[in-house]
Amino acid sequence: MITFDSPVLLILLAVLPTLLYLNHLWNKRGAHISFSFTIWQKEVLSKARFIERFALFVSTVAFWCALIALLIAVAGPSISEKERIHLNRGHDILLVLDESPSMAAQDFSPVNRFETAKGVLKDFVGRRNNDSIGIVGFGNQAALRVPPTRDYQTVNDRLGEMKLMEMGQGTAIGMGIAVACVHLQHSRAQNKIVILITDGENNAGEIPPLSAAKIAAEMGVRVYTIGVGTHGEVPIELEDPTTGNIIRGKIESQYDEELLKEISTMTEGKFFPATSPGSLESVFNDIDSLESVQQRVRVDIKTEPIHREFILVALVLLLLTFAIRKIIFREVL
Amino acid sequence: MLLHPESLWLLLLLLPVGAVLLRNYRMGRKEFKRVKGSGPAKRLFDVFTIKWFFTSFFFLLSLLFIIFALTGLKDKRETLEELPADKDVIFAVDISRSMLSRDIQPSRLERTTTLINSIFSRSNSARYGLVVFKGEGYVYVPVTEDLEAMKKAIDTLSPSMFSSGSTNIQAGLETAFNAFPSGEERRKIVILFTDGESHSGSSAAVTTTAGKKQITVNVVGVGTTQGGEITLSEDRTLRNQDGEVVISRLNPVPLRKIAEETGGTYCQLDEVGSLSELFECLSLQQKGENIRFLEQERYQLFLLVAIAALFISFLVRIIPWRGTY
Repeated sequence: MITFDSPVLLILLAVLPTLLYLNHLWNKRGAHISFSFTIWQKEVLSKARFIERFALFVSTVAFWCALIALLIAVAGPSISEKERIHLNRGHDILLVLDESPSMAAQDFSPVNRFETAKGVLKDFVGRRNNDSIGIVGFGNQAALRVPPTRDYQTVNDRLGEMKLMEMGQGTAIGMGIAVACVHLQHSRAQNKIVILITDGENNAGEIPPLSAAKIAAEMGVRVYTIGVGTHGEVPIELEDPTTGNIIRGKIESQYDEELLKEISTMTEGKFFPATSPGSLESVFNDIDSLESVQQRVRVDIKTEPIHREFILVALVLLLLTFAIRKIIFREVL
Repeated sequence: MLLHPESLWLLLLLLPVGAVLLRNYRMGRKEFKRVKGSGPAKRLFDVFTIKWFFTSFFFLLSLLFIIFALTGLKDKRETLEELPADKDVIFAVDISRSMLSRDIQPSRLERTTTLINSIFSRSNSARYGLVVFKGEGYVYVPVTEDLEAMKKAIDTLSPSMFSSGSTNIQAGLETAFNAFPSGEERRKIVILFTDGESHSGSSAAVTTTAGKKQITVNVVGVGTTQGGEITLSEDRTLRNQDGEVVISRLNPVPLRKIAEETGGTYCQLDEVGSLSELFECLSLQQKGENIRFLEQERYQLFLLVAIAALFISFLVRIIPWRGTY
């Protein structure tokens, strides 16, 4: 949107019609010679060539445009943009994602559980506007992928870069929660949340899941647990990131529903089963509504002056007029 | 102070414009001579001269003031802007091989990481982020409150993180500028650590973007102007194609410029300075730093004069001179 610093000066534009009248319609004006055609015989003054008439037309238009540009520039035009400034602190959310090979199970279309989870998480991140989001991945071990941040671009980039089996074949649920807690310890957010996505039983890591849950509960971190997968045998296919070999097979995977439930009750979170991509999506919608708070927002208007562009255009147009009339047509006055 | 001093070059345009006007006057005089000066033609010629003089003079005057308006004369003490108290600080760290030089002990890069670590321990009210750059910039740690992640990341800094060769300070700074989260009221500060040996990129573009986004860039020049060899491993130094040892020197001139033009400070991390001096220089503990003067550009008056002159030049030309004939 264009705004003006001193809109009063736009009143100067009112001078234009007068000048236009004087220049183009007032036949008693100076700097031109008027004479009657009847005195002259017809063919003495040949009609100006098209190119000449065109150049003259261009110079006239350029002159008036230059004048308009100057009159607008003097009023101080600027482009203003609205920016929403959040006045309250949002949540700190750490997404803890299982990277074990069973996440490659193909019961979640179109690819597998892992890719579906990444897609749903991306949408979830896209819906945030004031919460800090971080990501922890876990296999045999757990590691921070992104610290909690509001730089959603980086979060999405790192989410896209995540691969299965980068940290071995195990499922260290306790480590995942513990690492998330370590990175929430300096957080000044009122609501600290961990969202754990897994499809297997805890079978690795030095910290048992319930101890980790206890730490989380003491820190006031709520843990939402999501168990993904259908029951029974499912085909898997994945690439081993260290060797590059394709691993194919069938697995019978089952998450430990009791454990996930207990973790969530200990930390005042909630357990959600997700048996299909659709249900995983609705889980995140549920979490959205559970964690929504009143947002206090102020709208800031940022302005960027653009008078310089107008002045430059005016200068170029004036010089164009000058070049056509004084250099090409050699107008003496 | 001029915002766009380069616009003054446009003044040179006035010379050819004036020359053309003068030539056209001569042509006009020649035409009059052909008509030959009996009474009315002589007086007509005087009118022509007067009109020519005033319209040309005011046209040139108008151009002159349009160019003045373009220079962007600044008036410093116009409005005060209170800056938000909370800060987002992004460290933009040069990790090119020249940062391995040992002209300051143990090496430029290690001194940098020590300094960044002590900045954490002194002021923890801010959020921090880390951008590393060589030929391109990369957001290594996005802006976060999570000091653990920052500390870990800083310990792993090394030139082998990227394979790209050259150093592009502009790319590094632009990556840092884009890494600030929007939609919050926080001060945006970049602290650039580099030895200034940039092989590509221009600083003018960077400072303009910084101004628009209200980002302050503090620059820490790492190294000495005497320079030092670049140590690749214990007994190997970087040599050029002829086998000569490459000496890398701190190049403070462009760095100082970036800091000055974005309202930041420049300081040097070399053997002489102490840490507390550096902190003072980076104004991380100063009081009263939360207010700054907004620079108001003065151009409207110039433009008004230019428009008035253009009107006069225009009117002198078309309003007829009565009573001559």
